[in-house]
Order: sequence, then structure tokens, then C-alpha cells
Amino acid sequence: MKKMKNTLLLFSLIILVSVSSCQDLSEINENPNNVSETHPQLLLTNISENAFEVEGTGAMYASRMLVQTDGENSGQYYSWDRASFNDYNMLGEVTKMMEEAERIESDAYIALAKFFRAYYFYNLTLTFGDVPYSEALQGESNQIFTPKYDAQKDVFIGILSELEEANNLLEGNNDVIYGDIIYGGNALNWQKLINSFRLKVLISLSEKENDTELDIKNTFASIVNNNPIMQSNNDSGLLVFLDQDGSRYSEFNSSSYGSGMYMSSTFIKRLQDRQDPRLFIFCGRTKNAKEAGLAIDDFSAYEGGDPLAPYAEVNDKAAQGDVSKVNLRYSTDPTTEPHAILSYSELEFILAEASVRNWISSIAETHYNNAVKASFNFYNTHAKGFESYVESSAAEAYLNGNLVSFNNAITMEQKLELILTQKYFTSFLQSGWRMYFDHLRTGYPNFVYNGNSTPPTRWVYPTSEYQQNTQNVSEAIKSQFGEGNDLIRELTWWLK
Amino acid sequence: MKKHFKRKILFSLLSLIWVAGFSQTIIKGKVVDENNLPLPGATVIIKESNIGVSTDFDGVFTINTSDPLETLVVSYLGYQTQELSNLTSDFSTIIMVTDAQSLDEVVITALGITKEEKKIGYATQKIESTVVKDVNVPNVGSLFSGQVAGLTVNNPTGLFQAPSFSLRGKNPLIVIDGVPVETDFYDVSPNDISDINVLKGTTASALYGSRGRNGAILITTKNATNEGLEISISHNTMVTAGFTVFPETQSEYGNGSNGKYEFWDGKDGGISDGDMIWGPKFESGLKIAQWNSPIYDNVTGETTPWWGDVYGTQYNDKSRYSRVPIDWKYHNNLKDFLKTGVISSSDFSISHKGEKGSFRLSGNYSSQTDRVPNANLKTGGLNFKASTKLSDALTLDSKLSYNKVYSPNYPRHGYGPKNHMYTILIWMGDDVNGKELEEHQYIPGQEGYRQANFNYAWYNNVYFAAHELTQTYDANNINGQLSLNYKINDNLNLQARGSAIINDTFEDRKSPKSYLNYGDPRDGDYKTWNKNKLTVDYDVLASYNKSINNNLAININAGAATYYRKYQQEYNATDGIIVPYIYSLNNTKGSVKAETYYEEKATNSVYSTLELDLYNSVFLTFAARNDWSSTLSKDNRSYFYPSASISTLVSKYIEMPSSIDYLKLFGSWAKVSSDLNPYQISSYYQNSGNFGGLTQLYYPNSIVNPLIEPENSTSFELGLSAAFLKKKLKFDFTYYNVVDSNQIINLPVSNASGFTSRKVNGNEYTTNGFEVVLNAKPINNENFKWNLTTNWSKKVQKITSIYDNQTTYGDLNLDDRTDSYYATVWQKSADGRLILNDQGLPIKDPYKQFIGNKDPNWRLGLQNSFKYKNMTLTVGIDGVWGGLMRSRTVEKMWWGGKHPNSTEFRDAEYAAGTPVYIPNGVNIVSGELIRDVAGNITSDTRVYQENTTAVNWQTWSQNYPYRAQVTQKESKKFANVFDRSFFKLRAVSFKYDLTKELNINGIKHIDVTLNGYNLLAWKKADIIDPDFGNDDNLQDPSSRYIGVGVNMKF
Repeated sequence: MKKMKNTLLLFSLIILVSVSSCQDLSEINENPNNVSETHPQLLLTNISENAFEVEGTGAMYASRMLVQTDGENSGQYYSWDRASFNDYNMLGEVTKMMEEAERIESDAYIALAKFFRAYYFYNLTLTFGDVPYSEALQGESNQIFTPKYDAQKDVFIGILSELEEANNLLEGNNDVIYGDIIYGGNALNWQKLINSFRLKVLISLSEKENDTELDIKNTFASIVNNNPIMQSNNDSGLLVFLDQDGSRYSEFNSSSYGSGMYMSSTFIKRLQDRQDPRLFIFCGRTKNAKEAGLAIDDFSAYEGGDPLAPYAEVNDKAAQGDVSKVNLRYSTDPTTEPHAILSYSELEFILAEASVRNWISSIAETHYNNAVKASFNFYNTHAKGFESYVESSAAEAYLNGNLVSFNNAITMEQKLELILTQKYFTSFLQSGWRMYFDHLRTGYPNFVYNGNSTPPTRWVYPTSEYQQNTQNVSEAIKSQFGEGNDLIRELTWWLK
Repeated sequence: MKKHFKRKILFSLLSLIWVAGFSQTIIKGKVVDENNLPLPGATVIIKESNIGVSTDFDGVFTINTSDPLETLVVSYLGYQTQELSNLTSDFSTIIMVTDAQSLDEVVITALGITKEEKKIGYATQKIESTVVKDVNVPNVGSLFSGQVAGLTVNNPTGLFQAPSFSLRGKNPLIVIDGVPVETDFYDVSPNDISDINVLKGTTASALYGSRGRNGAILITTKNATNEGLEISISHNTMVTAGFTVFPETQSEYGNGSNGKYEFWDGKDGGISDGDMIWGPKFESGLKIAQWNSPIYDNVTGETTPWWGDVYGTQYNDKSRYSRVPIDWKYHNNLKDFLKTGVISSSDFSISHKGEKGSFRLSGNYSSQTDRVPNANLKTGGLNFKASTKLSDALTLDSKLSYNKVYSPNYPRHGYGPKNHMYTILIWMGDDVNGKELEEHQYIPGQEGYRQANFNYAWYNNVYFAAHELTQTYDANNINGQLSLNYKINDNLNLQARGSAIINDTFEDRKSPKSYLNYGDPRDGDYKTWNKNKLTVDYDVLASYNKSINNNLAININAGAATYYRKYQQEYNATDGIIVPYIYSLNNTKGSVKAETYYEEKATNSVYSTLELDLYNSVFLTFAARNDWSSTLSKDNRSYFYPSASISTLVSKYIEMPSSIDYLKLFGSWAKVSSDLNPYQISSYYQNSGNFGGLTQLYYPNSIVNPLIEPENSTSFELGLSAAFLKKKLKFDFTYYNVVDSNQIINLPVSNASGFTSRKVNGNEYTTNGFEVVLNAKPINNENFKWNLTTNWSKKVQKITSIYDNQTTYGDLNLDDRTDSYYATVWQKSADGRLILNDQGLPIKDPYKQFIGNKDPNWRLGLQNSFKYKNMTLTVGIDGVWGGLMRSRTVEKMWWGGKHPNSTEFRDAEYAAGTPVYIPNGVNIVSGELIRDVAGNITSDTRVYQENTTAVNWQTWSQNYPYRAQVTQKESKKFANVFDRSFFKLRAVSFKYDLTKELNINGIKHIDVTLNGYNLLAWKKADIIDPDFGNDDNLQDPSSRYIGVGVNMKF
């Protein structure tokens, strides 16, 4: 019996030893792979790439640049419904960058965080209308999981004031910004981009010109007169792609360019009408034209598919060799061309429009000509093998063309149409949905559609909001469009 | 087999105990069974003095007694206990009679503790080891299909696609020889398996802690069973013999679109040569320029044989060269591509059993040659198990096994350009001459640089892919185990055990130049993965047994364990390759990309059980375990699992009709918890690659919760087990109820919070299930025996509480079944008609709709075994009834034009030159439908008219059966969601014991088997095999296997 007691004692000891001393459980759960804290530069690179890369082809279907022949494209037929809130994921990253920037007390990164907030919220509010803004992005910091929606106007006011703060923070700031794949760390360039972006936001609110609270006209003029803005193509907000893993052009090798994706007749016709040599850069010759030996710079070598016809019909036409595809360079060159979220060319179009609207006193025509020349210059620099078509002399000649020359415009509407049409031409695989939103705002250039299927003015809120933020999204729908009217052709504040 | 193992242990521990006494008389005897075979390890006790001994290997015992007239009590598990007095002779032979009254069969339960079936208060079910031994299937786990009520096995159809298991809807723990393992069963040799027991309920496996919370499959490997030396060898070969389910496609039309096709560059540079199989009809005499057309020079009149496009060559000039039209005809490409698969397995074992212990050494080698060209899988291993008596009280059990799983190349499965079925089944028209694809994998003169193919936008030459895009898998698995058993006295036993499993895996993938995978680089690449895994388990267990008196016995187990797991991975990849065919990191064009990952986890545990046997008819077990897990915060890392079970033999105390052999009732209750994966309670930035050499980090979009608590699962089980008519009929019924609460969920939150989800403890899921096992022996005479086991099960899980008292969770509403299928469907009118737009096309409903449940209503397994003289035939059938499954295979066949029903209106439309198909549906004339955010209709003023618009047939086929879910109920012709119901003739094996016929000296046993697997299927779904599991990602054809085997023992 004593032996047994001893054994039991021994056994209990073994148990104790094995439980208590074997492994330090807390130490084991320390993650050796990842960090909990970081310098904001590592977040900046990721955010910039995401914000600046090509936004896919969806906008080009909706803007009558592309047609699809192997399936019904909801963008092309204006039959889309919901969009996602994915931009909030990147805003979450921006929020972390802001936190890390505040931790290391870096004004430059705080300013960039404010810019990216403005950039994504701008896209979000144009997409949906009212969106969560003031209570948004506080899931981790304040446990707000069902943020209320803010009126679109308040979102715009917030965006503009954040951009202004960003400008102020960068004013005279000589810090080198590490992790910067856009401007190589130059704070002044960012300041120029941010101020130019303020102008872009303001021009979007052209329908609200007379809103006294916003004071758009004066704000616009004040920025142009007092803050640094982009002066040349060198200042453009561009992501330059590299032939390295993870750094290649967003559309490189994309299979969809190989079948089922063709040019729209609307786009090709407009470029042909203006004898615009950028046509050769955007599109390939039709198969028949190529086989017939038509030269690249022969405008008749290009033809598009009717964006309104049933896709089977366009497919037939394409099969007959009569529809142009997207120029091969976009899917076969890993560094095709840089992508801009806001180029100098676009800024000049914005200034031209502001001038026509009498917001600023400088001459619209100068801005317009600068914009077109900057676009030609962009392709002259980047479109390998096509440089000769877009020399500066070609730009000059082009600007004298009948449908291009600013002189030929008499009325304000004609001027706006001219400016926005030219702005549209600079949007091929550039600047995401900007041209579509410009169309919604100004009606230029006009987009053809079938019967009642006018271009939708927004997207339906995502299912996830219906499920996870039911009350707030219901209220937002009710206050904007009336209960249950979360539909794609409802007008949001900025379009009213 | 297990019985022998137990006997051996008992013997080794009991037989050598010196019983001190005042020895006057020696009684000797031998205990045998009804067949006069010795029963080693039987207990012989002198009733008066309670002194006892065990019989030795030969069933012999020697006992000293003061009074020869004392009564001897002889007992042995499964036999009636005998009391003998007045044993005067020198040597008595005691014949034990099997006990038909009780359920004394021994079952292995958690932690390797063996228990008599009657004492078990929860559901367990054995799988006969002969089932897994005789049929040589690609993966032994597939043979568990239909064997156990409540255990679902999904059987993917491709090489090296492991089956997956679901036990009562959860993923069970796999335990081999008492140690939990992570295995896909490729490293387990069926011939080493001695016992398989499935612990279904939570109570059964509660002693494994959080790892065992979902039930467990316990596998015990073989030991030496017979005295002396025994050598066995066996061989088994199986070949594929056609297909049980073959995805039939249309065979009338080739590549192209709207009936037209001509090849130029394979990316729409010809006539619709970029994708789709909506091209011209195969007709004799029809000639079309194709990818393998010779090139005609219209200047010189020469023709040059050519394969693939002409990009980058002199021929890329249509003004001078053209492709000569060749015959447009059908090729049976899929059948030509798939060869006969062969599975060949050999193994041997040497075992020896003697007085000092026993050992068994076994080896196995299996080779599977795939149906897909250039793919095979080899598995092999050496396993050594020994039991050594170190002293009278000390026994050392040891095990060392080495297993290798090696594939120089195995195919990829699923939807995507890397996968063969994607190419050949869905996207390659049968106009393509597959034999020429095989013979000409490269464009002439561009060997190593550019593949020859019919398409250059989306797909690869399927033979080029099979031969040039290769991936290696090379796993080495070492499993060592030592167990020391110390028998302190009759009542107390101590055991200490340690086990280590080392798993090192090397994988690589070689992509040739011009290999295409959507947006991936086309410059070729080489990738390697090194994965190292170490699992260490230590445990100690003390067992105390005591019969207080005839009516009360207690059994106490107490133990402690620690578990440690380490996982390490390193990954390297080139960015393109410079020289073709050289797959080395040195051959990279850009910078090599490398990543490492390291992970550790540990759990410490203590546990204890208390068993009370009352009146030999009521059995109570209480168990408790506490775990401390490294993955939770200090405050939450300790969690406790209590469990209790009761089992009672009603027939012991209530008079039953004579036709009832016994009636057992049982019930159990248990509560278990579980933890997290490592590093989940703090938030970390993750690496997301780099841009221009600058590292990019991102912050995950799920909010962590450092205070997360363990999950709880409470289950109770009630059961009944009865035998009738001298055990000709046995019946088992179990009802179970599981409440999973405090679940660790990633609760979706508004995306606008900056996150998509946050980790919380919440939600409650309630599962109710029934399981029935019926065993019948309709015929049981000396020459002919028929044994039939049927198992049937049903379960339903519902979400019974949602975090924060919400009424919805994702698509689910409170009290919904969790397998509710909410699908994207087409808009319907109030009376269910399909709504079509002004182009005659259907319109997607922006709200998901409930279309049914995914799980089957019930599952059935039927195992038959017929024995006639020395021939045995076993037949296994199993299947499911009801439930819905989506088929991506079918959807993609419609889109691409391979679906058999897609031919219907092609001819008529091509002849008419205009659409002829008028879809059945309505158009909205006026009005609108308004719904709130929950999808409830607030107003519906829609007015309809019958649709009269004809739609292009190809357009229709690419929309209606492709872009939203269509059930068989909605449309039989266009369905892409199917009834899951199927029944399969799973496995048939015919064994002929030739030992007596051949009567060869030195051969103790010889038999041959003929067997088959996956022989026949009946199903409700079109085209696919529902046994595969969900068809969300394409499936390979389901092959039928037949084979022969031979087993010999020396």
C-alpha cells in the first residue's frame, strides 16, 4: 500500500511537471512572421498601387468604348444592379496608414492618408449617393460596426476639407516620402496632385455652382490662384509599370483581350470623324483591313461593333472580320503605359471647363489646347512604336481640325461638348469611371442607348449593407429616393 | 485482432505476478474456447480468497491454494463466467462458452482504452478491416463510404484527390494507434490496418479534447497475432474499366461561334477562333482552316506542314500565306486523352510472437498510373511495431514507421487553364485533332518556346500541359512512438507514452515557356515549396480497477498530456525563366521571390474518468478533461470538458421474450470546447508582395478579438441496442442532439467600418440526427452465411440563435437550416413565370432566393457479405436521397457550347439566318416591383404579356442556364442545380480461399480476390457524379475500377 502511495505521488508529479513546465503557452503564440506595427511607407506602396492601377474594362463598356461578343455585358446594356463597398477595404488600409503616421508624427503620411481618403470616398459617393462617412472606418478604433450614412453633400464637404488639410500639411514640407511609387518621395508633387484633385472634385459639383455653403466658384479660383497645381505631364499622378513580378501593367496577359472583346462603333466613329491619330494607339485594324493591306494610319482600317445590337449580331460582324479589337499593346506589353488617376491633361480640361463656366479668368482655349497637347505628348512618350503619329506637330494639326478646334465653338454648351469629348478621348484605359461620371453630370459626350435604357445614374447598395447595416441603409434609401427605391436610375444629390 | 492485442497485454501483465501465499496445493489447468483453442489471458480467481492468476499463451494456468475445495471463478471477455469447485485432478481443461446474453465485444474508445460494448453509453461503429483490405482503391479512405451511419465521405475522381470526411456534419479527428494524426490516407497502407472504429458522438471523443470535439476515426494497426513466425505477402492490381459516370458532351459541333469558325491566331484573329464551341457542324466533305492546317504559299504554290499559329514567323502575312482548309470532323478527345489507369500494390509482413514479446514488420509499395498522361503517384512505407516485456511488470510498446508519398507529376483539378478537364471537357471543341496535339506540342522550329495549340487566348494544348507543366510532390513521413506500461499490481496500471510525427514535404511546379494561365506571365516559371511539420504528443495514464464486490466495480483513469505542433514553410519562385527546360531558381529572368512561414501551437491537458459498474447491468462513466491552449489569451486558455454516459442492459433485470437476446439502452451528455489557430488573437500586418522592389503590407480586414473565448458544443445522445433471434438480427438506434454555442465566428460587419468581419463568440447551431444500424444474418449455416448490415442516417442543423439577438446572419434567417440554399436566380412573375426583357432575355433577381436545402434528406449504406464454403462475396451499396447541388460543369458546358442539350436549335437558326427560339416567359408591359432591404415586396404593380421575342439560341444558352441558378424543377432541360440523390455499387469483392485446394507445404494460407470499385451508379443529376461532393469547381470523369489480388501467409 505504501508503494502504491509513492507511485501515485510520483505519478501526480509527472502530471504536474508535464503541465506546468513543458511549454510556455504565451511565448508559443507570439507570431514570428508578421509585425503589429509598421512604418506607414509599407502601407503607402500597397495603397498607391491599388489606387493608381487600371480599373478594369467595366467603365469602357458603359462609356461606349468596348463591346462584348461572347456574353451579355451588363455595363454595355446598362442593366447592372449592385456594386460593392470594396473601396472601404482600401479605406481601412488608409486608416491604418493614418494611425501609423500619427504614431511616428509624420505630417507627410498624414496628408497622403487624407488624400487617399478623399480619393476613395469621392469614388464611393459618385457610385452610390449617400454613403457612411463621418462614422465610417471606426470598426477597430471605436467599435462602430453599423456606421450611419451621411448625405452626399456632407461627404463632399468632408472630402474637400480633408484635401485642404492635406494641402496645408504639405505646405513647405520637405520630408522625403519613402515607399512612394508615384512621385519618388517628392512632397511638392503630392501637394500639386492633391490641389489638382480638389479642382477635380469641385468641377464634379458643377451642378451645385450656386450652392452658397459650398462656394464652389471661389474655392476653385482660390486654389488655382494660391496653391501649387500640376504644371506639366511630369506632374501627372501616374503609376509607371515595370517588367517585374507584381509590378506589371494591370491588363498584361489578360485573356479577355484575346476573345469576345471588341471596340465599340461609337468610340471609333468619333475618333475617325476627327481624324484622331490616337485611334491607332487604342485600336487594332479590323482583320479584313489588315488582310487588305491597309496601313495603320489609314482611318478606314478601323471599325467598331454596335453597342446596342444583340451581342450575337456584333459577334457575326466580328467573325466576318469587320470589327477592331483593342490594340495588342495593352495585353502584350508588360509596361504598356503608365496609368493616371489624375493627369496634367485632365487638369487642363478641368481648367478649360471652369473657364467656360466663368469660375476662373484664364482662357479656356489655352487650357483646352494644353490638355490635348499633353495627351498627345503622353502617348508620344509611352506608346512604343506609335510615337510618330502623335508628335507635337500632329497635335497642332489636330487642334485645327473642324470638330476639334476650339474656335469653332460658339455657345457655352458647344464649348463644354468640345472639352468633354476631348476629355473622353483621353480616358481609354485611364482614370476609371471618370468619363462616365462626367457624362452623367454634363451629358457630354452623349452615349447611345436602347429605348428607355438610359445610362444608369448610380448602383444599388451592396447586399452586405442590406444584411449588416440594415437600418442605416434603409434610411439612406428612404431619404434619397423614397422607401424601397434603391434603383440604378435614381438621381443623387450631385446630379440634381 | 484487437482482442488478441488485449489478451497479450493482459497476459503479459497478469501472468507473471507472483502470488504470495501459504502454498500447499497447486492446481493446474487449461482454459479453451468451444473450438478447443486456448484462451490466453483468461482470469482465474479463487472465490474465497479473491486471489487470482491469468492464463498464459497456451491458456494454461497454475494456482496455489490452501484448500483444494475452494471455488475457482474463470472469466474471459465475451464468455460466460464459470465457477468450478472441487477441482481435484492434476490438470483440468475448462471449456468456456460464448455469452450470447451480453455484449462483451471489446471496443476501443478514446485514448486507446478498451471497453466492452455493453458498457458504452454512446454511439460507435466498426468498419470491418476486410472491407479496406480486399479492394485496392486509389485512396483507402474512399472505402469508408457507406460503412458507418453518420459518416459521409466525398470521393473526388482525379488522381491524388483525397476523399473528405464528415461525421455528423463535422470534420472528425483521425487517430492512428492512439495518436491523433493529420493524414490524407495516402500514407496509410490498408494491409496494416487491423481495426477501424468510429467514435461518433462528442462524448465518445471528449477525451481527445478540442482535437476530438467532432468525433474520431480510430485506426489500430496490426500486431503479431499468432505464436511463432509468420510471413505474409499480398499483391493487388486494379485497372480502370470505363467510366461509371462520364460527362457526356455534344459531339455534333466544333469550335467557333454562331456556326462559324476559321483558325488564324487562336485569339479571334480568324473567325471566332478565340473561344467557344458554337461553331460549324461536323459534316463529311466540309473543310475549314484549322490550327493544324498546312500553310499555303500563294506565290510559290508550296505547302508547308504546320501546327499552331504563325505569330513571329514569315508566314504571319495573310497577303501571301493561307492555311489550307482540312476536314472538319469529330474526334473523341476526352476518351482518347484518358488512358487506362492502373493501381498496383504489393506488401509483405513478418511477424513473430514469443514469450518475451512480439514484433511485426511490414512494408508496402503502391503505384498508381493515372488516366491522364504522364501522371502517377507512388506510395510506400515500412512499419515496425513491437511489444517487449522488460520485466514482469514492465512492457514497452514501440512503433516506428516511415512512409513516402511521391508523385513526379500529378494533374491539377478544377476550373482554370492549368487543369485538363477545364481544357478538354469544357473548352476544346472536338474538331481539334487531339492526336496531333499530342504529336506536335510545339510550333515547328520553336521547341521550348511556343506551344502549338488551337487557341492562344485562354487555353493550353492539353498534351503540352500534361507533359510540360509538371508538379512534384514528395512527402516523407516518420512516425515514432514509445509506450511504457507498468503494471504495479492487479488493480493499478501506469502508462507513459511519447509520439513524434515528422512530415517533410517538397513540392515544385515547372511551367514551360508560353504556358498560359490567364494573366500570369508567359515566360515560364519554377516554384518550390518546402514544408516541415512536427507533431509531438506525450501522455501519461494511470488506470485503477477494482471489483468492490459482485455488484460494484470501479475503474478510474487519470492522465495528462501535452501536444505540440510546429509548421514551417518556405516558398521560392522565379520570375520567368531564361533558358527553356531548365527549372532552377538560378535560371530566373527577374528576381527570385521567396517567402517563409513559421507556426507553433501547444496544448496541455489533464483528464480523468470514473466508471461504475453496478450489478453488472448498469454502467456509468464520468469523464473530465481540461485543456490549456496556447492559441487563446491567458484568461481564456483554460477550458473544461465534462461528460457522462450511462448504459444499461435492460434485459438483465427485466424479463424479455425469448426472441430478444438482449436490450441495451444508453445515453450520454458531453460538453466540449475548441480553440483557434495560432496567432489569431493579435492583429498583424500581412505581406502582399512588392511593387518595384518596395515591400507592400496590408492590414487584414477582419477585426481580431484578443478576448475570444473557446467554442462550446454540448451534445446528448440516446440510444437503443438490441439483438433478436439468437443474434440473427441486431438493431441499433441513436438519436443525438448537438448544440454548438459561443461559436468563434467571423461576424460580417458593414464594410463601411473598414472591415468585413470581426471575430466574436456567438451564434448557436442545433443539430438533430438519427442513426440506425441493422445487422441481419438471414442465413447462417455451416456452408452458407449471409450477413447484411444496413445503416441509415439523417441530420438537420439549424441556426437557433444569432449574435446579439439578430434575426439574420448572412443569407440565413433565424431558425433556418444551415444548408439552406439561397441562390442568385432569374426574376419571376408573381405566378412563377420567367420574366424576359425586351430582347427576350431573363433578368437577374438582385435578391438571393431560397431554392431548397443542400444536404440530403437521408443517407443509406448497405453492406452484404455472402460466404459459401471457402468463398466470400462482399457487396457494398450506398447513396443519398434528396438535397440540392449546383453544377459548375453543367453551367460551363452551356456557356461554352459543349452541353448535350445545346444543339437543339442550332441547325434551325443557322438555316433561317435569324433567331428561331422563343423562350417561354413574359415581358413586363408596365408597373414595377418594390421591395424593402429584406427583399419583402412592398408593392407589385407589374402587368405582363406573353413573350414573343425570338432569342439567338447561343445567347440564350449563355445566359439562362449559366448566369443564375436553374433547378430541375424550374427547367429539366436547362437545369444547373440538381437533386443530389444517387446510389452506387461502391465495392464488390469476391474472395476464394485456396489453402485447402492447393495444400502447398509451408503455405499456411492463400486466397485470391476479384474486386471492383465504383462499379455502377444511379443518379438524378445530369452529367456529373454527385458522389464527388459539390461540383463547384469541375470534376474529372468517374472511373470504374476492377482488379485481382492474392494473399499468402507462410
